[in-house]
Amino acid sequence: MLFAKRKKTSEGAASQAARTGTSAPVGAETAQAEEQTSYEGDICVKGADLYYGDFQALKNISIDIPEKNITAFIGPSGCGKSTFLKCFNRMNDLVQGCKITGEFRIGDVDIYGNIDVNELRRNVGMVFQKPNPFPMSVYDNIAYGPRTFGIKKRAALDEIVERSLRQAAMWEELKDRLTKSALGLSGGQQQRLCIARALAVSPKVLLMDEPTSALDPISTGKIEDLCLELKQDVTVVMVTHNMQQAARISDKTAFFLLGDLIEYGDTDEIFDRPKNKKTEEYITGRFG
Amino acid sequence: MVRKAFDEQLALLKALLVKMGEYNCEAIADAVTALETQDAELARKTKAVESLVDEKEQQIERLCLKLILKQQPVASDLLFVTSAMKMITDMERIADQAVDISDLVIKMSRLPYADSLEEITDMAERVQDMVRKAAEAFVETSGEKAKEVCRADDAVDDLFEVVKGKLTGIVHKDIEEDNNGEQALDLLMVAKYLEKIGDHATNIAEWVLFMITGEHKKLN
Repeated sequence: MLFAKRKKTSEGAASQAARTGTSAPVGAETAQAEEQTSYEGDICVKGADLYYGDFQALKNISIDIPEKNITAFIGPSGCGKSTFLKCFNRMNDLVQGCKITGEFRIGDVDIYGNIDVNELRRNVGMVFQKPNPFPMSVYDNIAYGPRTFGIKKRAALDEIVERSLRQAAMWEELKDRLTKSALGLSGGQQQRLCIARALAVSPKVLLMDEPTSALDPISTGKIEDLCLELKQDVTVVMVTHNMQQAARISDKTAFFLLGDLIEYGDTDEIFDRPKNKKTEEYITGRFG
Repeated sequence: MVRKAFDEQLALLKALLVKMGEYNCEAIADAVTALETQDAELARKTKAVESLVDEKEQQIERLCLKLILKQQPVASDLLFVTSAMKMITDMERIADQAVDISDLVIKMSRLPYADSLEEITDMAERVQDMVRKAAEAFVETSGEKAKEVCRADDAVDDLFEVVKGKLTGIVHKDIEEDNNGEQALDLLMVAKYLEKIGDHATNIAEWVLFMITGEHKKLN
């Protein structure tokens, strides 16, 4: 196993800081190792509230996201779906004045408890709206994460790079361009490279924040196919404004509005027979 | 209003379906009246009405495909468009069967009927009522009316069995008297077409229920 499970740490300044958005001492999360934990399993959230200062961006959200499924978050701009997505890898820790309460579990890990945040982010990868490859070679982009986690041997890195690019269905098109700059790739290729980079550290969860909104239909189709392949091994949670995309590839859909989770269920049910009138209005385009 | 153009197209689709339903009722009414009065002229008129039904079917089909292509309907919009596409097939078949009845009426118009037509007339009244009610269920989005249509089909099926028994007796008697029993067989065909119209009305009612609930159940 290339990536050994890291150990849980005790509640410290870091996790405390995470809930309040204040800066924590560097390395505070990695100290005080205790017991083994696993990120394998469902994502369970109970009674989550999130505030940016006085503004409440998420209101009492409870949701169970099944592992190895694709779950889509939909809703109008500003409804809280991206904010909620970022809770799963504690990206909101970096936001000054952000306060989060409630229970967040991935597998058997309380992600706002006594944990190593670096380990959380290795297990919960993220892909953003705009492709953001590092200004370095294709190979070094993929090897960046594994190197950070202490893998130095060339043979091991070669294996990871090939596996990750194969998982992202890019090996054949990039195997002869591994030393070329990632910035020379097309937008669609860059985005798939970012997915491959996230996969290089063998995450259990992949968060995607509008991953295809800047891409042409062919690149979009490739990423959608890729998501359907990936869900055999990884839990995919995706924010999308594209209703057809949510309907096409997700197993579950959650509709957010003004910080509330209005409706959550099987995608087929949501798009055939939504239970809530607001969901119906939104997905049929009559909202507003 | 958001999606004004889409809503206008959906309203047009509904209006076209209502019109097709009206033509359907007219085709059956003409065929049944022609049968009861042995009016060949009126029977011929059914054909003209049937071609209007066909025209509407094609128009609705094109509109549904255009809506799916351009508007990508979901939820209640998708149920409405898909049920419309399914309903028009049954509506078109109803008009075809009205013409089939009319063709037999024209054939039988010169001779008095071998049977009193009491049960056939009863069947005709009932299926007309079913088709009318199925159209109303669609216009009013009434699940209750749709279910009434489905329930009404049993009586039509029972009447067909009665007619079949009576006409079988007439055919036997005809053969004994060296007649070929052709008119009794034609009347049996009329009864069968009426029974099929009842089935199509039931199908339409089931699609109305699908449009309302999202579940397609066979209710008869």
